[in-house]
Amino acid sequence: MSVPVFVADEAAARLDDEHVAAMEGLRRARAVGVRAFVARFLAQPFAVAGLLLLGIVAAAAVFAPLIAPYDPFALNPPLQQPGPAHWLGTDPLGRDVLSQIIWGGRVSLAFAFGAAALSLAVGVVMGAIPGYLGGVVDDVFSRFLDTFLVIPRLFLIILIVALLGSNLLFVIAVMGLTMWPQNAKIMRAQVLTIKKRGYVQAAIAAGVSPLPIIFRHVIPNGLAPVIANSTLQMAYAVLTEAGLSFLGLGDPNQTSWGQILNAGQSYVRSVPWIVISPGLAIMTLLLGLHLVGDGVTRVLNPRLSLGRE
Amino acid sequence: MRRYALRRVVQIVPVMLFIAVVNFLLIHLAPGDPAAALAGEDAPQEFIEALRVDYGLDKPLLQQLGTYLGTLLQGDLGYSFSYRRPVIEVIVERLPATMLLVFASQIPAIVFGTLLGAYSARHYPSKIDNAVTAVSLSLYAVPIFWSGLLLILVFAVWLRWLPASGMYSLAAPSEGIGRLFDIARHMALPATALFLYSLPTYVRLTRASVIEIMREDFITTARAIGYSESVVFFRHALRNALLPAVTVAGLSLSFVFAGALLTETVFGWPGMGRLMYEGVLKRDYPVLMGVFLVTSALVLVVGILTDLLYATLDPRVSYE
Amino acid sequence: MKTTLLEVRDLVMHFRVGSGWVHAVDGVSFELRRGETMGVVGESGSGKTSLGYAMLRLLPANGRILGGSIVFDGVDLVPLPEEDLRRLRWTRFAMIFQNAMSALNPVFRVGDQIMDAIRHHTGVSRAVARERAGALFELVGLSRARLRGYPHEFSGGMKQRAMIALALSCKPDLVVADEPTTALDVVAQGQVLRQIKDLQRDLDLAMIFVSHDISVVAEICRNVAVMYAGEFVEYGPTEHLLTDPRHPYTMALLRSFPSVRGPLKTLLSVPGSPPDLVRPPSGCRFHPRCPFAQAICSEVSPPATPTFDGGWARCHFTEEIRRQGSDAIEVLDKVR
Repeated sequence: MSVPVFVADEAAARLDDEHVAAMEGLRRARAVGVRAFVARFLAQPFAVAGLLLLGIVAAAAVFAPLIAPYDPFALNPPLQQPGPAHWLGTDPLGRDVLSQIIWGGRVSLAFAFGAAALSLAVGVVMGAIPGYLGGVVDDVFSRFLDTFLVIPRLFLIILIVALLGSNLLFVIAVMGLTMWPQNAKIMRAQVLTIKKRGYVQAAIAAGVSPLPIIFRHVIPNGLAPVIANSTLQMAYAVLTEAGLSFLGLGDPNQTSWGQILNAGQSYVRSVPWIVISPGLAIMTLLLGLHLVGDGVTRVLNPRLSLGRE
Repeated sequence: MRRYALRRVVQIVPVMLFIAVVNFLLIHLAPGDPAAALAGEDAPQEFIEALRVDYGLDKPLLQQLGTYLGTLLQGDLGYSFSYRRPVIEVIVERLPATMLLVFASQIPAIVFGTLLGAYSARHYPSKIDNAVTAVSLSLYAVPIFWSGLLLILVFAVWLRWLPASGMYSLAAPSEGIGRLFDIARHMALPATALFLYSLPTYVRLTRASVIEIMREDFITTARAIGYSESVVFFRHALRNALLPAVTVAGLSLSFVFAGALLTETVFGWPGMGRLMYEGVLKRDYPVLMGVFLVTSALVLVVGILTDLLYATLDPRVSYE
Repeated sequence: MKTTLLEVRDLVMHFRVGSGWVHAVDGVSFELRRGETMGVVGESGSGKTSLGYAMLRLLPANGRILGGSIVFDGVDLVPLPEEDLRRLRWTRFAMIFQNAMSALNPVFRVGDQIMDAIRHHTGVSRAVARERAGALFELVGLSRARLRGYPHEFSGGMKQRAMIALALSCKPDLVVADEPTTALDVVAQGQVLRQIKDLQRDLDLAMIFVSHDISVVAEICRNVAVMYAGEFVEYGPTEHLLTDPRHPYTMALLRSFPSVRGPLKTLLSVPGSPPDLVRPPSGCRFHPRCPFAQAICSEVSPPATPTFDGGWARCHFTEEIRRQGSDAIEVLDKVR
């Protein structure tokens, strides 16, 4: 009998370790693409519910001029209880609370999308380029990211807004520019693995220069977890805007949910609806964002959903 | 171990330097006179002029930065005109109230959150687990200042069980058990708000990490050896699963301080967060910058303590 | 003749996955006597690892034993209450896991993990357990001082030795080894393999050795079972099965490993890929990849045809393959 030598087919054997996972992985690999992503996303009841909540808030914000019964700045008799004229009552200045809530959704959504988009754009680029280049640049930059991430963000934002002003666009920019290091860190981790893949190595060997490789190959392939994180950042931006407005640091030329709470908090005893209703609006939007974010994460990270029946 | 700790302490220096530089730049970016910004809104002209000399605000920018860092290094965070006292004194006076609130809310949040998360993971996948997920996601969606207002509405306005704001009653005894009880009554609502705010973080984290750990090979080994499910869970899984909870407890301190800021504002709790709010109202910039610096320093120190604790819990971490 | 230790009959184990049931183990039967060694070989996804776990009723949360019996020393493990099963575990049968890197708990000292297992089953004092753990470490070629080490301080080969010591700690009669050398480098592979071989002989252990590598199995096992798509397709004494395979899949598997002494042939894997076990092929499960397949193969599941010494092969054409011998192998080489 001849004694054959060893041929260690390590990769194959590891797969066998949990071949169910392997088969699932195979099925997933076949089903790439946006359509499959959407299908798997929509298969989750929680995620669909989240989408619905977001839809309600977005529709109210988009059609605010048509839906809102009053001009949100118009002054009526102050501190009215909810009734047929003012479904959610009026605030201490006599502004209709329902109309303020409908219009206020615009500010919250502007923060959600504006700040998260800015953070996404800056974070992706600032994570991808140093991560791709590596070396000293990357070392120094990662240190900077770590430093930035430990700073108490809300305190910094309050300080900036108090010193430099509370204009809507400015505050959105401040928020985006304080949130991006988180995205950069996620992107960088992605880049470190993508860099080693065949198609990137092939592009390098073919003499393609770094920037086209980063933008054409590295970023598109590493984007998924950053996008999942973006839904959380949207929620953070909404919450922070509400907090700032609640503290009296909102843009005085806009109407926002936090400002309604700020104006109404002293009247919680007499007109509780002023306080209850804007909070419900914030909750609706945040819950929608969290449910959608959770759904996206589950689709992107199958390990969390595997075995769920 | 000692060398590791020392190295971590040294790492604070560049971070604090960075924060100080941010403060410095903000003063100069602010519209108008930096001396006026440094003085705060109510300060009289003489005081502004005195500051201009003290901080050398007529000197070149780099020299100004040097002077600013020099004063910070001496523990001088500036002078608050609205309180007529050095900023550091005002902050030190407010710190205990904040720490009390943080401990009273975070210890139960860590304990209950971890237990609930572990319980949920043990029943994964099931209706119970889904319910826990739904509840924790909903709690994430509640702004803390709003839950604070609702707590006031229910427990102070409608039920009249607990006081709505402050830390003491005027009529309460000024010492002994009576005083402690009085403080506890005042703390009940703000601590609950902060507890509910932090709870879902620990639930979600522990749940995810227990689910992950229960799939590890060493759990299969433990089962194969013949340990009962509860031994497998408590002895072999939970200890591994708690490691990330420790890290997050440390890292989330800045998030807890942010929650405390809003809670203290709602409940008029005389802590550092409330001080920040008062600083905003009075445009007392030295106070705002001081609170920002002190909060950052606390977050950094707790970060180091967390790392050291982690290192003693996880044998894989080497001190080098 | 030694007495039967383990008798598996028509074992069926399926996994629930999103889209249906994975037929991981589908009607497997075999017998193992005390002190005997059996190898189970197959490709990734053949169900061999699942079989290893199912035999000891170590099922993942989504796995179910749907039929058959696992009679261990006269006791059927399938209907056995969890509590009784736990008493048998490690004292009667133990397992060496594929990935010793992750099979040891990272936060406990290796020695403590072994001592815990000993004390859990025997209730002896710490000192006695420590002495036994030390003896086990020496048995597998590790120094006693290493008992105080943590898993991450061990090299891959050392971890696997520690895993073997752990598996032997409660003196089991049967050890199931699942790819115990796969994660190791070639040198460590050889050492660990020799260790397992010596221990098996010295301690008179019954052993089931699961591997994708037929050459490793050949070194250790008296009998070999070849597994494909959840079924045993051929079973027999190792030397016969290796030199005179009767199932086309066994042949293909043999050709996928180079031989030291035989003629130098191009090394290739078995053509095609393993079938989707959610919907296994009809008839003989190998027919879509088999170069000899006829019409009947896709319709009728082949019965076990006896070969040598109690061996058998599940193929409709074992006789033809035997007659053609080396020609059959050439056919196989051509289709690649």
